[in-house]
Amino acid sequence: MVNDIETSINAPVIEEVKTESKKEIKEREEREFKKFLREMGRSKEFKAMVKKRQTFLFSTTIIFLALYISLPILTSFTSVLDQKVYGEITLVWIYALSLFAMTIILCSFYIRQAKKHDKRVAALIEKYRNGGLT
Amino acid sequence: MNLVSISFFLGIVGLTLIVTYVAAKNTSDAKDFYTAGGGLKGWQNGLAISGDYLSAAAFLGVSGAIALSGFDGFFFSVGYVVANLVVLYIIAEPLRNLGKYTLADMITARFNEKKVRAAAAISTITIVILYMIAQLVGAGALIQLLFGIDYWIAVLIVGTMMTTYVLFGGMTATSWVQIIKACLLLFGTALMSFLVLRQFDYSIVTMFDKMSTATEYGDKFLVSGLKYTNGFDSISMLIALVLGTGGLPHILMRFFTVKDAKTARTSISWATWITAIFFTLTIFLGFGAAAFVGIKDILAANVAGNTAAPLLAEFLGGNVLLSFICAVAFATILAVVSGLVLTGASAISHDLYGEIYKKGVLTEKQQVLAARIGSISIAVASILLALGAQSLNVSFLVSFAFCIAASANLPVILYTIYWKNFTSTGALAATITGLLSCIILGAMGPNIWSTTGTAIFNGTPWFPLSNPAIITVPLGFLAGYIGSKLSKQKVDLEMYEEIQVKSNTGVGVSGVSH
Repeated sequence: MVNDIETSINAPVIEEVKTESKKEIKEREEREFKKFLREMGRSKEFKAMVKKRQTFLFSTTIIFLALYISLPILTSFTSVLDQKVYGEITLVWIYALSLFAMTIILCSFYIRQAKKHDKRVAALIEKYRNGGLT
Repeated sequence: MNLVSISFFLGIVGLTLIVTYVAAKNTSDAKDFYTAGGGLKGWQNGLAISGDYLSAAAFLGVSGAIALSGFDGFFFSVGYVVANLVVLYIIAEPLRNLGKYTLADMITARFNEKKVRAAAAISTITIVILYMIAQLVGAGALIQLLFGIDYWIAVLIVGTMMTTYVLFGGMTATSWVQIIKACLLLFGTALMSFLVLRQFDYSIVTMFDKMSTATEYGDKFLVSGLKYTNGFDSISMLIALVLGTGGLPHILMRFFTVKDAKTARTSISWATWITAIFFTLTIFLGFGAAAFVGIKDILAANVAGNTAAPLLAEFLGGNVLLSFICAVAFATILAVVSGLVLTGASAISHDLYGEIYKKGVLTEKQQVLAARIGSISIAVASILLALGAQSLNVSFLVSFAFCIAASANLPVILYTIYWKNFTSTGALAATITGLLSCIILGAMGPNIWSTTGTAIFNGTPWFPLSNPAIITVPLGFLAGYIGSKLSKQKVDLEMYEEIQVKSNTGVGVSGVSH
C-alpha cells in the first residue's frame, strides 16, 4: 500500500532526490515523521480509536485479574472450593483449570480483536495520507 | 554417572554448541547481539518465551511443590499461565512498538532523562542478579545431586557454558538454546505424564481417587491449605507471579527479537498454549512423584522437593528416563541463565555505559565489544555470588525477583504507556519505592528471620509475609502517582500523544514518508 504510492511519485522527481544529501533525507524523514505523530495524535479519529481499544483492554484485564485473584481469596478465607465435584476431584482443581481455559480463550479473543485494530490503524494512516484527518 | 547419562548430557551440550557456532557467524552488530537482529519468527519467539517461563524453578520446583503440598503447589502453575494474559493485553505490543533493546529504552522513549534510564537499568540488574543466583544455586545443587560432582565445580560448569553461548552467539544462540530446551522439556514432561496416567489405568478420576489416600495428608492433599496457612501469603504470592512476569526484564527483552507488534502477539499466543499445556502436566508429575516416590523419599533427597521430578523419572523409566530428564533439566538451567546474562549485559552495556556514560555515541563495533564485556562481568559477578550463596532458599529468591518486577517495573511500564499526566519524577519515585520497599520488607520477613533456625538470622520476623507483593505493588503504583502529582514538571502532552501514536500504530520513521 505504502510502496505503491512511493514508486509512482518517486519516479519523475528522482533528479531532485539526488541533490538531497543523506543527512537532508534523514532530516526530512524525521520532520515528516514528527508531523505524522503530531497530526495523528491530535486527530479525533485516532483518539476515539485509542479510547475504545483501551477500554476493551483494561476492562478485560480487570475481569480476568479479578477471577484469578478470587482463587487464593476463596481458598484462604472460605472452604467452598474444598467440596468434591466428581469422585475425589475437588472444585478448586476445576476452578484452577478453568482459569487455564479462560487464558486460552481470552488469548485467541485478543488476537482476533488485534487484527481488527490493525485494519483500523491502516485505514487511519491511509486517511492521513489523503489529508482527511480531523 | 554412567554411560547413558553421559551421552545425553554430552548430546545436549554438543547440540547447543553447534547452535552457538552457527549463531556466532550471524552476530555482527549490537542489534544481532541483543535482539537476534529482530528476525525471530512468532513461533520461535513463542517457544523461547515459554522456555523462559519454564525455568528450573518451574519444572523442578513446581512438580516438587505439588508432590509435597498438593494443590498449594499448583498455585505457581496458575500464576505462570494467567500471567501470559497480562503480558498480552497490556504490555507486549506497546513495548514492542516503543522499545529498542531494553526496558529502559522504552521508558526513555517518553522521558529522555539519564536518571530515569539509570533507575530502570538498576532495577533490571537487581532482578537479573537475584534470579540468576537462584538459578545457579539450584543448578549447582541439582548437578551435585544428579552427577555427584562438587557444588562449586557444578556452578563453574554452568557458568562457563552460559558465558560461551552469550559471548559468541548473542541473542540468536540464547534463543535457539531456549527453543531446543522448550521442545525437549515438553516432550519429557508429556512422556512422564503419560506414564503416570498409565499407572492410574488412564483415568483422571482414578488418579484423584488414589491420590486422596496416597499421602499422609489424605484428601487434604487435594485442597488448598497444606502450604499456605496465612491467607494473605498465597494472595501476595499470586499477585507477585501474575504481575511480576510482565515486569521481568528477560521476558520483556524477548519482545524486541521479533520484527513488529503483530509477531509479538503471535509469540505470546504460542507461549500461552505451551505454558497452559506444560503447567497442566505438572499435576501428573507432582501426583506421580507423591504417589510412587513418596513424600518421605522426596524430602530425604532434597528438602525443597526439587528432585521430585527426576526421582519420578527413575521410577517410571529407569536409568534411561532419569538420565534424559536430568539432561533436560540441565539444558533448562543453561537456557534460562543465558537469557539472564544477556539481559543483564544489555542494562550494563547498553543503558549504563552506552547511553548514559557515552551519551549514545558509539560505533557498532564498540557497542558489541561493550555488550561482550558486560556479559562477562554480569556472569562473573553472579557466579561469585552463587558460590557464596549455596545455602540460600532458592524459591524465595525467585519469588522475590517477581516481587521487585511487579513493584518497581510494572507501574512505570503501565504509566508510561497509558497515563497522560505521568512525569519523570513519578517514574523515578515508582522505581525507587518499588525496589526499596521490596528489599526492606523482604529483609524483615520470615525468609531472613526465623525462630526455628530455618532462615539466616534467629529472631521473630518483623513482617509476616514471605512475599511482600500485596503491599509493595500498590506502593509502587502510589509512588508513581504521587510523584507525578507533586512534581512541578509540566506534563508534555505532545510527547504523550506521540507515544500514543507510536504504541498504537507501530509506525516508525520509515513508515510515513511519501
